[in-house]
Amino acid sequence: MSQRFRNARSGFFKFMVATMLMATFSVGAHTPLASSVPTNNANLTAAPANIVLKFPHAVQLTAVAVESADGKQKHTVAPLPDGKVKEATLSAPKLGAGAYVITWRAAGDDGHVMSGKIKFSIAAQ
Amino acid sequence: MLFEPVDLIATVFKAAGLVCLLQAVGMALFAVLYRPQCGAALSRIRAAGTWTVVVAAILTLAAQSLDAGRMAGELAGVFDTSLQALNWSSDAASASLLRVFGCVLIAVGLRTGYSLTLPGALLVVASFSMTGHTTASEYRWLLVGLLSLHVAIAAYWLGALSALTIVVKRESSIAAIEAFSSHATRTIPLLGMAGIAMAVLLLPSVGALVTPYGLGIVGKAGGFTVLVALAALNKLRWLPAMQAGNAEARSAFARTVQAEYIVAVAVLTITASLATLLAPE
Repeated sequence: MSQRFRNARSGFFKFMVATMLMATFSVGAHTPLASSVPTNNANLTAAPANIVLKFPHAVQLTAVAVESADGKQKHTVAPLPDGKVKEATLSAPKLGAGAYVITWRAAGDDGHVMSGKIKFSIAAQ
Repeated sequence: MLFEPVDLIATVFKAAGLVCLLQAVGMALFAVLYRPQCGAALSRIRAAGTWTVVVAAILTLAAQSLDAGRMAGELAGVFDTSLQALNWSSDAASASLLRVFGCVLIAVGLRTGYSLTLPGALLVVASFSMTGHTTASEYRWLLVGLLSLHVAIAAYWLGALSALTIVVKRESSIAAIEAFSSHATRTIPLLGMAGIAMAVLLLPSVGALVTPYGLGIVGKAGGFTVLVALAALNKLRWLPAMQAGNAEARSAFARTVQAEYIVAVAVLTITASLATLLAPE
């Protein structure tokens, strides 16, 4: 085995260790939601007409969706506000009884991508 | 699933890009600072530095492009022109472009006589102050200075570790190790001091040290302590043994440098997680 190959192998190993370590730790994003309607883990008696997301700082919402907890249904929420907002009131999709997760994504003031999830359930009538 | 595949892909690119970026800056600084002492190792350090800086630039651009996918929550967002327009108009994109421009200067400098290398390295270091938690602090300008110092020395150290793995294999290049060892003794403490000062300014109280962000800082401090211990082992034991002609010392020195590199990456990992996952408050 040549010295050059050993050097390349050693360098590649270190690079992969570096990449994997950093990937393990840095997956994720801030979740700076100040409050929401519905609140996280809310048990509702009726489907919400709107989804309200409040942030401590103005953000650009880039994607909001409501998924059933089992992942079988996904409703994309649209339209989203055009510019940066601290509070967004969005029309909720029509939902039946069951458990759901609202997923949201936004770009912060410096472009940093943030995301979060809000779980809630709607009781059967 | 807590995160989407696009988050994982983007994070791998960001992580790899950050390691390459700091390593490239540090290798360039090493080549500039210890040019006379490097001897035959210099051409290999320049070549490795050039390749590292090219890869760093590519990964930086790729990672920034992937942020459009993260905005959408799916990889398809990368091909959404409105999201890319939003993505590339942000401060984060400006910082990425500044890094790439710095990389170009470093690469050209490494191939053409070093005059552009330091300006390139400075641009890359300065770009880290354009985004992140320090920009939201009331002590912003003090933090900009501290962060720049912190990043510059971290890059100097990481790049030097990569360069030392090349240098240590050459008998004639021990002078470069001696020169780095002498300078590192004076600069590395500044890395720790800048880190402590930033923690004091960013953390709202001592009690915040038990929050996830505070624990991250404590973890960084722990990693830094291990790094200093490994560096001290090389400086106080293996370097004198190498100077005395001990053949075994050279491989022991190289092993310690490799251990330092891995610990340094772990510390960088904590840094990346603090920057992307958590906030001081």
